[in-house]
Amino acid sequence: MKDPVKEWLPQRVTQTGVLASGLRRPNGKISAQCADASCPPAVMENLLRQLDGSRALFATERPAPRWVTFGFDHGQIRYATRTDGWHLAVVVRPETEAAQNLDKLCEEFLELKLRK
Amino acid sequence: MFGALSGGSWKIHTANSPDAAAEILKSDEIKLLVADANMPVLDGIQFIGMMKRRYPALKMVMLTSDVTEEKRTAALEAGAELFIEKAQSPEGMKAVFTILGELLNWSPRDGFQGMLRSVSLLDVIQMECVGHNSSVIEICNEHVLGRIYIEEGQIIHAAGGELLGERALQKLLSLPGGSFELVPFEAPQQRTMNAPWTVLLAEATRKVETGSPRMDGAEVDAATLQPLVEAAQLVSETLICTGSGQPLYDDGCDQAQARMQWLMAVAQQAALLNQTCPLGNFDRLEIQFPNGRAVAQAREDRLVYVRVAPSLKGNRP
Repeated sequence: MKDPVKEWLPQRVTQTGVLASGLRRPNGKISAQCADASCPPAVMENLLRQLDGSRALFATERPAPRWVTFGFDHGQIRYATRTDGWHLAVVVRPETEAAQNLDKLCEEFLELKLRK
Repeated sequence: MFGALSGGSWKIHTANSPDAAAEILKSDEIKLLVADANMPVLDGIQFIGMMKRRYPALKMVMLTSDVTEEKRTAALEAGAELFIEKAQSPEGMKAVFTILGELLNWSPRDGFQGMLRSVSLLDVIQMECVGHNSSVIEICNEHVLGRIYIEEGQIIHAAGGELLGERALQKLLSLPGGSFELVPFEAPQQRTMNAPWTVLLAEATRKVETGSPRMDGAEVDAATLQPLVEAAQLVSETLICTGSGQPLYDDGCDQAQARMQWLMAVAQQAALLNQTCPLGNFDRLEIQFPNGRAVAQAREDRLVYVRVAPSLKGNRP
């Protein structure tokens, strides 16, 4: 299957309103890309690490969440995890095309056939 | 019963006469005085007046089964913080307990003041609804005069300025300050709201918080309201607490204490994320489950968790 870092994600986060996005591979390696200067790749990488740490918050929820969204006044952080170890995080401005497409993006991410 | 409701954290002293009560106040460090209006020798209002002069910082509440405008005014003028009607049901007792808890945790701040000056207007509405009470809340400030009608725990009508229904409710909840009073229920000339109170308050709060209370245009029609009504019917877990963790409403929450701590942990996690990538104030956490979703809010003044099933035909999560 195509590499989601190089092919899938860059094609899917082109809408207006995306600030940054990133993927965490099952081996822990993080790749981030920036679409707005307010959220550079280094910030996105840190966010992904923090989100990874936040998984304990949802460990007792049954059934396990498909994704979570932290909503702030000026942005949303969407975080989706797969059982094979791939994680996706996207930061968007609220009430934008990108925000409206987050569910579709996550559905697609969860269905992707990926290498471990 | 209050001792049991507090889980043993409240130590309750009782006295059958004013002099016995005065002795307790003298010998123990009391944080809250609840006086019955009917007492031997001197009535509760006189007793509160005397004790207020002796202990000006002590919080005092008048409890009575005979609610009249005259008594209420006299009790508040004597120094009572609250004037509460005696509860007739366990739910009512819980509501009174919640109010007393709020008073104990209250410290003066800007905002609404009135008969229930220790709590916010939203808290009062919630407590009236949770207690299945019937009452009218009269609200006024220098610009607006409004009324919210609650019948048997359901918000049935609101009027504020020239607005009616939901928009009036939103406007009244968005007022930055003013005063309000709980008065005995009287039927309004019309009923403008029929959605569950949880939906009405959630929607009004959301619009107030997003700064978009709709002050013009037509009333929300039934078709617009229907999805919200259905959503309320699908709620499987609801927990509403004050910012300090005092439960205000709990329905279907098996471990309220654990959920409350979880909400606080969510707020901490959001603060961490916001430090890394500043996005403004934390509004809410939304969780998408395979069979439903949940929304969590954790703010200084309240903690809220609501979980709903996906559809009327779906299984409850």
